[in-house]
Amino acid sequence: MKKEPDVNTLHSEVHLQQNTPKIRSWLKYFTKPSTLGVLVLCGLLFVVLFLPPVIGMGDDGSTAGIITGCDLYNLEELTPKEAMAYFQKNWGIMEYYNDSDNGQITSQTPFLNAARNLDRAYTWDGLFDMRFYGAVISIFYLIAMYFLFETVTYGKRARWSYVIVGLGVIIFGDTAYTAWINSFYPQALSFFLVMILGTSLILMGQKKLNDYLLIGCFFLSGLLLCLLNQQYALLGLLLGILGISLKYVSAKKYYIRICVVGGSLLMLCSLAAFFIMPNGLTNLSAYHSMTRGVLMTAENPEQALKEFSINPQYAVLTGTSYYQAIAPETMDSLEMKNAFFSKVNPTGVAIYYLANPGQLYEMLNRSVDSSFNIRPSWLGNYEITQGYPPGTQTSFFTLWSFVKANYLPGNFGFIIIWMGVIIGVYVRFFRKGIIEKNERNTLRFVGLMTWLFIGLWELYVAIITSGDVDTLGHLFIFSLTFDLISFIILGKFIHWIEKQLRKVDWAARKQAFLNRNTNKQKQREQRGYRL
Amino acid sequence: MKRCIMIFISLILVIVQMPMITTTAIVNQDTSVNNPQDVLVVYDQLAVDTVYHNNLSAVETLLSALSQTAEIVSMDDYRGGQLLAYQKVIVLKNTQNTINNSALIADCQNYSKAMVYIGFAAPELVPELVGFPVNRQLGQTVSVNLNGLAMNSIWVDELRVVETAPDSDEVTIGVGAANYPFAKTIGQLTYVPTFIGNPEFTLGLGELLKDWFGRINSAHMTLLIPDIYPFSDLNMVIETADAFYANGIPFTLGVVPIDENMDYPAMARFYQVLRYVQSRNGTILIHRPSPATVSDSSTVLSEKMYAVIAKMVENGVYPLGLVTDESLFFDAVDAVNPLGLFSSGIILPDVSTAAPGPKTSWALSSVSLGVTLETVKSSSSRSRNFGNYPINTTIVLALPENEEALTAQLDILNQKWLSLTNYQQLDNQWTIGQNNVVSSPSGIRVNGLPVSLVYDEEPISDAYAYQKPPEYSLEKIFTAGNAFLLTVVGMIIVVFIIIVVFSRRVYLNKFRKVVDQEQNNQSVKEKDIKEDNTP
Repeated sequence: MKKEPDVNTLHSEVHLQQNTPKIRSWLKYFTKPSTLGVLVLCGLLFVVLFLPPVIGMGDDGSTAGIITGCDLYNLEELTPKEAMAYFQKNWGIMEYYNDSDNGQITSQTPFLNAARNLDRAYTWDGLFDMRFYGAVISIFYLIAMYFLFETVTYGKRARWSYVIVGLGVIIFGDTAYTAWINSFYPQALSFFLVMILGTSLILMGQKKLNDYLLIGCFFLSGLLLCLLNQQYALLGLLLGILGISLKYVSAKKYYIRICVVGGSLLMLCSLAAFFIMPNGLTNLSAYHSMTRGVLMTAENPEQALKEFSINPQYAVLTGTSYYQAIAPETMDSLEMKNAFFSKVNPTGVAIYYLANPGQLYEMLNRSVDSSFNIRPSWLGNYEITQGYPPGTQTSFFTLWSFVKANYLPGNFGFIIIWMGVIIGVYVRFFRKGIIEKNERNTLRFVGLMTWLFIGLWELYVAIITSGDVDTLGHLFIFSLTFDLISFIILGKFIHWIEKQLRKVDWAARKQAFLNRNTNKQKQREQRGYRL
Repeated sequence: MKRCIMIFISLILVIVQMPMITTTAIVNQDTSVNNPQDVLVVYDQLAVDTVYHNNLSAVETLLSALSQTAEIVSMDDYRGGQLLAYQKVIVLKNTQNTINNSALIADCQNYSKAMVYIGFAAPELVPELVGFPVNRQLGQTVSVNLNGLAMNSIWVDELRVVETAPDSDEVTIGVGAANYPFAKTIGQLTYVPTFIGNPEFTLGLGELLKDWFGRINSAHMTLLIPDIYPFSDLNMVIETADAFYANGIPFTLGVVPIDENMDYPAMARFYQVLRYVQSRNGTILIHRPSPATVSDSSTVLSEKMYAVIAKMVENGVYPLGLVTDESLFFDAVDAVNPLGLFSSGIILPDVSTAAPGPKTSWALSSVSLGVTLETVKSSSSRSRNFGNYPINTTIVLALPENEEALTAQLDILNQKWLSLTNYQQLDNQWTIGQNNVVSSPSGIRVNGLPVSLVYDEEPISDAYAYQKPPEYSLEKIFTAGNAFLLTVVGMIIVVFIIIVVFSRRVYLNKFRKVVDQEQNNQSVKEKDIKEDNTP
């Protein structure tokens, strides 16, 4: 007996069929490794940064100028000591015209203004919720991560691509990194800017996305990076030269024009920024550049102090931190200013290190070690209302930073070997590109080298400006570029293994394994014949 | 024989005397505390942004300077019945706001013991206040007269005075030609109508409270140069010490404890300078480490302070007291260990607003209140001699920057005819760690033995190993392991060479057919046969 088909079922089937291609294409897009990775990160960020307990970074007061420039102010609910140990979510919005001269305008300002306007649109309570800024930064961070995942997966949806993206989520979704997003530090911005800077070059080399989009990303992120702070400004010179030489990549007329104009603009802006922007170096960093740098590694600290024409008795401060030995009133006193701080400047320290390469190497070792911590130990992650002891840092989703801080050899020797490996692996692309006169093929190497150069430059700047204490966010960039390059190399390695494994004829191997015993028997017999 | 007996007797006397000296010192210490009875301070508000913002902090400082423990509570935090447990109560009313705590009002009306009421009168709280004839004047320049000293030109926005004739030995407030009493007592209630937390009014209140607490000991005045770090201008320190010594001015030096790098030559040089200062009638005092610098828990503070003090004593520097602000006395005594073990100290005036919330204080046995040189300068005495402030005071004098500043300071000090006390000759004592330091008019004794303060210069070697070689644990095992590995590797290398040499022969032997001659011939024959057979 044949059953009558149900009318309703039939109808819905038809409906389904009509929609299937659309849903499928969407599903296909969302299950692409890079998109999936970004979605997972999005969820992770939502949990970490936006749902209570809200994770962020304590405030050490170094960003006061930037937030004043955006008409925000510290509510001063916490003492300065508590403000470092606890994350502060709420800040005040100045309501009237404020004619203050200590405001600073950096490339963070537009992002902060956007966040403030967003907050105003949402609530009108005179309070600025840090999470709005976190949200603005998160969007750009997710775009950067999409770029990064595209570079390592080549847009393929192989099983191995998912493994690589998973690793990427573990490394760059680490709370030690993402906690910076909820803070006014320049680290929040440099986090995604550095990422976009390198990935746009590599993606251009892979011909994955539109060239105009990528060159735009490159110049914009370079510009924002070098306007972040006076100490980043000189990076713009290198990026500008790199930008101009990008004109060989494509023969399109507009593309070449964009490269030349963009590169020259970048160089001009960086030079202007270097001379116009306040140098942002506080007594804090000057103090650390001596006590946690020059004096700490000197054979004779008194001799080193004499070279700076400072009273040799200051040797007793060797190895101390700014908050440790001296009362704040004394630190701000005129006597200290005249006798110590007026004689310390980064140029002098840089010259000192060039004259004492042994000390420089020692400092590089220490800085690499402290950069592997990603989060400075004195900044807390939780709000005070969460009831954690002061300075508690979250351990949620911090596998990579834990491994990095505890198991990676934190010294410069390791970095040299690591650099050797990268250059060794990637230099053939460069060579090939040069020989074939195909500049586009050199871009993968150039992208990695840009990261490497930025990382090493920031490492050196960190040493001359603040010793081995990362109070200015330079070591953060070194740590980030180390992870980025390692991740790209790891991605390549996993692809290579996959390729090798794919080459193997598994059926033949299996047959060979099964036949092994019989073969042996045959061989033995053959030998017997011979004997 | 006679001589022997004499020596014997004198020896016995000395031995018997020694413990007696130390015990008397301790007894002195105990009596100087004057039976600290707790006192309750009830304040209404901190009155931030008014002229009275410093009042609570001034009262707290004063109580600490009088070695008085106290409990401080705001009117809002006041619990019913609290007042009645105290013999003495100070009410501080900084604003004219009404009082909402009905328990406090009820308790106050039942309270019949001694009370000092400072500030705006609130008859709803203390009905007896209506009995004081108060005169209110706006915008007056007044002088505070105490103990034969007049401190002039104090601007008061809103002056309230009790209109009665003052007694001869009382603290008075002078407005023009008129003189009003600083405070008026009727029965158990003493009313201070105007109080501003500046040094002059604080000293006036100091005299009042001293009498109120029944302290009879005479006040002394000392001199302090605070905030001396190892990297301060040590030449200037020496020069100042010499100048003060030459002028017969005893002084104290407040040294900031630095717990890092205590064995550096720079630190040895610093101790040398401090020893020199001690030989020049200077006394070393130790600062409380700034709370803003101590990021770790207080136990770490105590360990480090023990180390710092032990190192100082080891280097012949004997800190005899503590320099601190009043906030130290509101931390738990255990938490500020070993600073609480000092018997004496100097309280620096605290410019910050007092921390709110209920709190109790502890006290040192003998304390003096810091005053600035400006205050001393503006105080004029009736006679040539400066005389003294009513309570123990210490003139706080910054380390002069150059010789001109030093001469200027010396001129002021000399012109004033101050009667300064040598801090060493006061009764100070502490036991910290292994060390027991006692000072008295007879000198300083460390662990019962008198010490000489004569300066002898010790050469300080600049050859100091700043960069310590890293300490390896299990170093011996590793060196043994290294030796073992070297021998093993050496043997392996020898074996390897032997193998390489001999393997050549083994390899060649593979191609060498070792057969008998016959066999060989045979095969050749066979070959021949085969060849023959071929067509």
